[in-house]
Amino acid sequence: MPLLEVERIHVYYGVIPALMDLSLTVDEGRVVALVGANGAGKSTTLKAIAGVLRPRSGRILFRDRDITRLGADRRVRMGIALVPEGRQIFSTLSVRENLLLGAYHRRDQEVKKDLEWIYSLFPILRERMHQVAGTMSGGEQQMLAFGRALMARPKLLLLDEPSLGLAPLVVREIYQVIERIRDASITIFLVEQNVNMAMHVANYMYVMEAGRLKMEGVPQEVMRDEDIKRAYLGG
Amino acid sequence: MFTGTYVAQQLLNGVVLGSMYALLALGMTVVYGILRLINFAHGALVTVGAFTFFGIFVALGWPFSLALAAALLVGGVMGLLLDLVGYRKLRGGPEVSLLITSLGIYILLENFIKLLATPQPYAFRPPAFLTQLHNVSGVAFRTVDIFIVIVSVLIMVAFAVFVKRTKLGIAMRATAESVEAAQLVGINVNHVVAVAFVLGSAVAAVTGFMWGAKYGQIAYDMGFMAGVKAFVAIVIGGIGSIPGAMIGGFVLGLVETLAVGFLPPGFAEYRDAIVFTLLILVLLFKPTGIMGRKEAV
Repeated sequence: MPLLEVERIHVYYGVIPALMDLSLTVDEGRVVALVGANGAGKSTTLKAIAGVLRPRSGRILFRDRDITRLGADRRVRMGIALVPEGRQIFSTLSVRENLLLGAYHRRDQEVKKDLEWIYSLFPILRERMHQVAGTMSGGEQQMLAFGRALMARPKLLLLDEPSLGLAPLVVREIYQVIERIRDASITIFLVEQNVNMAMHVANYMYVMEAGRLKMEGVPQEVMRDEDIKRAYLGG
Repeated sequence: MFTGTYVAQQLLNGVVLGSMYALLALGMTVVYGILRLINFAHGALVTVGAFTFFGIFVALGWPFSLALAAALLVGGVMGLLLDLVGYRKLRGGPEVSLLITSLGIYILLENFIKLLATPQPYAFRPPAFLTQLHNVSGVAFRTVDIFIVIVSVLIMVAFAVFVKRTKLGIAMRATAESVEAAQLVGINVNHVVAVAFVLGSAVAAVTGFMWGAKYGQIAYDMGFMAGVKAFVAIVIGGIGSIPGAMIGGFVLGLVETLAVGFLPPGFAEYRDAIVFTLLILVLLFKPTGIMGRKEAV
């Protein structure tokens, strides 16, 4: 069942086209990856889905509802959470405040329980609970960004380059977390340049080039393509 | 020579003036933190608050507490209107259009009050219990001075608790750091901005009452210098910092009062020049102010 459907969207930065006629589908319960070179439009795609950017034409459907005109904060309430590129944690706020803001829209009584769940996923965040978030390392900040997004209890988690700028060991740790999130039956839409990592965790893959979709399929299939192999795995 | 009593008297005067600057700076800096807008219209709320209180307490003869509550309410509503009508549509555009709009709104409000109340100043008589004179070992003050300091401190403590402890307050600090990231966690930024305007403007209106009660006179243009001085206080404290704005307010109030009190008599009429000299010195030698951080470019 499709959770998210992007239908022929065009996105522009001023007069410069960033996404041309892009369509894709994310099925419920899956991990879908979007790969492509720098500047291909991957982050733009996520921003359009999260509601930070508005498409000039086309539609975005979430659980069969048209969300194209909704603001980012409304989409969070519907169950779409983005872990943005560069993390964008609130660096002057404490770790705990960051996490609580993730649940900003929630009125239910289980926020405390979810906070415990996040601390169990990322024990380091419990240790750093009262620390100002900006003083943590890059990997710790990435975990905080994950935790903050999960506090929204999303149905769809959007991840923008979660491995960017992190040490290989930390990247492996992050991907273990992605698997645990998947096991908690949260649908994941992942943007990655690190195709190797994306391949391992994804059920389905889209490949972008210069603002357009170039290819799609299950990872093994996509990776069999000679062009893709040359472009991403060095031949 | 200056006696201890004289010094204590000047310090007290400085703290009273500083309290009012701090309250104004507080409201201005909260809005600045989110919108990067130096809201010059903030000064007009001082005038609005003073005249609201004056109209209800003196002209209509209603009780003091009701008149003060009305000033608070009118200030808050005005703040909301400014945001909805004046600024909301301009967000996301160049910051300078927000700035120019705020100047325009100030001029509009000032002239509107001038039209309603005529350009003449009014004698502002606070209720009798506030005008009572006290004398503690030579230091003279009225109840209103104590009222100003205590109410200011209460408002500042309440505000500190609000931004530190409540969900909306934390969201306000988050929005000040990054509007985009705030939206991405589900914060309705328009809502947060509206709250900042309402709180800041309500506090400014109450400050207008204090101003009138302290100096015994109100006029349609009283808010102009008050707003500008609040801006100077923000720069001294460090732009964008909430504690900085409050500290800056007190520092400015003390510097202004002490300079007038301790320089030879002829200098008293230069009090505004002294304030702006201080502004220039801060901008030259410590542009980030007392508490400010460098802004990310």
